[in-house]
Amino acid sequence: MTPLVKRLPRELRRNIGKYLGIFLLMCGSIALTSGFLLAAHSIGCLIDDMRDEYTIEDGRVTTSFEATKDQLKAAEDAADDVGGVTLYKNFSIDAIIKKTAGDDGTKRTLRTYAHRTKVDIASYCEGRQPKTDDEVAIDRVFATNNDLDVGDRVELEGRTYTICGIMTQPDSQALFLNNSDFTVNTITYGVAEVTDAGFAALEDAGGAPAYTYSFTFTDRDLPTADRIDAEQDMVEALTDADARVDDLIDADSNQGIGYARDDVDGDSMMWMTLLDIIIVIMAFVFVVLTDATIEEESAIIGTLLASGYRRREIVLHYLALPAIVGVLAALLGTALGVVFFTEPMRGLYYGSYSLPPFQVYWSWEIFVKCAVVPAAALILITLVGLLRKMGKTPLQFLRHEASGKSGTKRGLQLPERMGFVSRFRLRVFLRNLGNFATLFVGIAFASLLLLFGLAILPTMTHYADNLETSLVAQHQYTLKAPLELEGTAEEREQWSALERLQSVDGALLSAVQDASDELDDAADAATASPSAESLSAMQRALASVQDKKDALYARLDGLADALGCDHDEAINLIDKASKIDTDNDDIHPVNTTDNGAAKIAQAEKYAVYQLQYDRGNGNGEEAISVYGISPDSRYWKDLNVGDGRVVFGGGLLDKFGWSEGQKVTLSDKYEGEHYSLEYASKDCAWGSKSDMNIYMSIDDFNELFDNDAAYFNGYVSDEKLDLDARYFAGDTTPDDMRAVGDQFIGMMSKMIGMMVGLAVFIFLLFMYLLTKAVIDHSARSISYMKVFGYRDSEISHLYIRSITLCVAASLVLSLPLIIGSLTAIFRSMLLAYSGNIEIYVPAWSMAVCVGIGFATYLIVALLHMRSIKRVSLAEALKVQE
Amino acid sequence: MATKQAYVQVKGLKKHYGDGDARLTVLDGIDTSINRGEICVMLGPSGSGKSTFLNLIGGLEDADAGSILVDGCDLTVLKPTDLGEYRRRELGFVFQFYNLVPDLTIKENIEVTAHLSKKPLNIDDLLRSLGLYEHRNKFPRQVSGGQQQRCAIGRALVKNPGLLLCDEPTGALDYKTSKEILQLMEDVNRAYGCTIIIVTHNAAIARMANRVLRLRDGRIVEDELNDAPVAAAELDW
Repeated sequence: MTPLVKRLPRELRRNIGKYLGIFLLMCGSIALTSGFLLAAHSIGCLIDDMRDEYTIEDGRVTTSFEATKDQLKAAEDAADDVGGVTLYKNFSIDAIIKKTAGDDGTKRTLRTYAHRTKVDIASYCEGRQPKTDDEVAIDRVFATNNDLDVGDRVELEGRTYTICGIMTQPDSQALFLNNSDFTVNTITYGVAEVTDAGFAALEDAGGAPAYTYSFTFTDRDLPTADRIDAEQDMVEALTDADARVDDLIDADSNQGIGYARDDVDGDSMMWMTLLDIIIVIMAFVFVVLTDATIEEESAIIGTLLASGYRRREIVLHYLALPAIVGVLAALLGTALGVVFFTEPMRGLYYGSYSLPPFQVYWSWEIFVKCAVVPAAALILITLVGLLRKMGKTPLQFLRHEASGKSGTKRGLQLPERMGFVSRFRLRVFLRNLGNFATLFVGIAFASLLLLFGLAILPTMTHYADNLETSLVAQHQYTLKAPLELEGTAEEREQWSALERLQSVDGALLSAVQDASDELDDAADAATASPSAESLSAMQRALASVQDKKDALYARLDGLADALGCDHDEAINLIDKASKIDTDNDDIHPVNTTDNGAAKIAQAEKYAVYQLQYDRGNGNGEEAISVYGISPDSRYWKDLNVGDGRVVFGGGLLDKFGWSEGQKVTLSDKYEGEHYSLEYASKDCAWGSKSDMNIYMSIDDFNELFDNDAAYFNGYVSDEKLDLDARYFAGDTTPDDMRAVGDQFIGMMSKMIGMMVGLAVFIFLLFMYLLTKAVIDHSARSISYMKVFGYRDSEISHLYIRSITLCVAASLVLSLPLIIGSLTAIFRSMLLAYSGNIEIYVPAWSMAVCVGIGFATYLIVALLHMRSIKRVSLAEALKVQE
Repeated sequence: MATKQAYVQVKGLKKHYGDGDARLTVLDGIDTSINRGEICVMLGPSGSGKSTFLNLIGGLEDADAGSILVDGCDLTVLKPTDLGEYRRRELGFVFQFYNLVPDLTIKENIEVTAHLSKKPLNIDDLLRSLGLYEHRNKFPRQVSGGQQQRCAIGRALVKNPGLLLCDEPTGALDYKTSKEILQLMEDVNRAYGCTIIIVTHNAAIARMANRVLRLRDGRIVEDELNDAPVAAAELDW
């Protein structure tokens, strides 16, 4: 160890502000990041463990109506090739929940399941599972956000239940009302479970069940591709067995199961990116400061080298402090993060996701990422900078040629007509050109971070606004199957009768049908008896007819019991229903409620189907909704479709950068079909940059998907429609979208707050260090000017104004660069997420960024000028050598 | 005590800067030798090549032609790393400007180079002989220019070098301090037997030298031995 080591504590003391700032910044960033990463890693491990511990499903299929045993068996048989599958009945009812006391009237939905024991088993945080039909266990996050606790009484579909437990369901870790929703809804949506009897009671109270069957493959480690194939085979088998499949969601695509993990992983990447940026900035600061130190100590270094010091020894000497500061900050930051920040970071997710009780899973990878890599990167970058700087000869150091300037800029001839002041300022600028370039890069880095923090909330708000305004009507209804609003009273009665008959066990109706057929056969046999000699035969035939009639009546009674009416009414219902030609596919069900001519007239049919687009580079698939709409739609205004014209949402074009004439291949994950759609020209773009849909005329849509010509599966309407529950799939309103946006902002606001705080701190420190370096560089010349007799104001005029101008120019000119970088960072960061969030940098945030930057500079300049003024002139001259 | 053994031998040494029209020949075939333990003073006007000559002997620059043998080792064939080792082992440098490390004390500044030697001189003894012992814990800014130059000399001497190269060592000092510094050099030459080459504008200093070299336009115009050097204390200018 060289005696030079004695300089280190003195250097540290002398520049305590600089080193402390860097230390705190690095330590703080690493503490936050390591705390976050450890919390994220632990949550990830917890989620992984849940798969086996709580038997998370491999997927789920939803049918329009309850599937028969044969249909379910057909589905199970279809998966024999992959070792078998088990289907579990997993019905749910989206029940409207109200507090029995003090309800604020907000519509809240509780997706209520019958208590599950074999798949997607709930983890109880508090209380116990329901035991009686008036008990309900509700989701932890929903309970927290709605101030509900064990013992509270709530109404589900108007029926009173007592909360007996607070739990989390492993298939609803993230609370998505619809799997296609962009973000979770933890305030007005939750999940719950009741007993089987409680579920039946809820159904009786008017709750419409969703006929969902969750399944697990016998081989739980089935490769994804095999699993998807098997699932498609199952759907095909169900369809072949006359079941109507509404939805198939593989566990990987189920946001309730995978979103929390994806979110945690995505955020981890964001934190790592942030840490990387900070480390690069820190290394940049170290390189800049070390450069300045080497220039300042050039003669000393030259002397040491001339005295026989090896270059390596000098490099190690100048590397020592950054390395010590970096290593200590990395180690202490990681330790602080693990001990103090893991819990708060966990809270960020436990406030949004329903996960079982938290426990910490240690990870050496995180230690390496947070403690080893930043310290190593810092040392390496500083070392490279030092080696570059130390590449000069001892003589060059002795002659102060370490800055590597060629001298051409200094020796540049300037026209005398420029005047002395202008030429002098230009000389100051040229002499500091390298420093100003550094300053520009540094300001751009710091501004990037600050603007990232300042713009993220406006961006989210902007996105939420776009979501809200992207809806073309007050209600966008989706249907499970086409449902006509128009119809005669007679037709409504007929469909009403059919709906009522189909609401009971299909076996009862089949039995009636069979009995009726048998009676017809018996009657035919009796009528066909040829002669009196066959009297006895005729009597037997009549007796048979009577038996069959009795049997039919008995079956009718059974059906009537199930329907809750007498058998005459049952016959009446059958009679009405039989008038519907169910074999005719062109006939659509008619809504049993008449919404009135005015409402019906303003409602407009549309069709929608979701296809997948491969984002490429392992970034997964984007779900894209393809809409078939009326060419002269009153809702999708100025959207020119028809004659094969395909129009692309602005969000798609912005996110994927598709160019004119480009063909886009979309796939149907259920059918395995591929569709190629062309973005023909710029005229074929519509909507905001949040619009991720593709539009075409409904005729083109039905042709593309090989549907019946009259097919549709939704209505847009400015009026609220009363639609039959069995066909109703969803109603999206601007309020819903606003709630989603608010939820999203609410979820991110804590993290955004942290980022803004961090960004401001880094920005201030960075501006301080950089501007100080530039002013320091001119300090000696400023002292000289004083010796010559210049007044402070004149010196300021010549020097400080040049620097000020450069700082101001850097702050303003770097903005386009920063916004471009932010757009690129945002795009790459969110590529793997659904939707398109356009970076939105409001003018005020740019003004704030420039304002903070300039104010920081002014304070630094003021402080520094004061210290320069205090230096005696003799001392200023003495330090020349 | 000066001996008559050739310690530095320079033959046909050439050095130029720049190319084409801007080519400037700084040293144009220097031949000389300096014996071990001698005090050699190099005189000459600005631009005569004195400092370049010193830098070449110090291994700080490469020669274009010729050879420089120091204690039998040809510097012109050494690689930069070997030149570094040569400086570490053999040389002490004293510059016009002291180039002390500002945040090390006087003693610590000397320790910096003591560290480079396997057999450094006793620092406290050296400090006493430099008249800096009382100031050993002061920082350079707290002592006078002469004391700083003493410290710089101490820094060069502490590793007990065979060759002490001094580039205008009194150039920044007043008369009295300059004489003190020259006396000090004389003392260390006697005490430690090191060879000293002093580059200066001051012709009066030549009187204390065993050998005087005069350079003009890159050539040695005078290379004379002084059999009766005057004590530094008796110098006057």
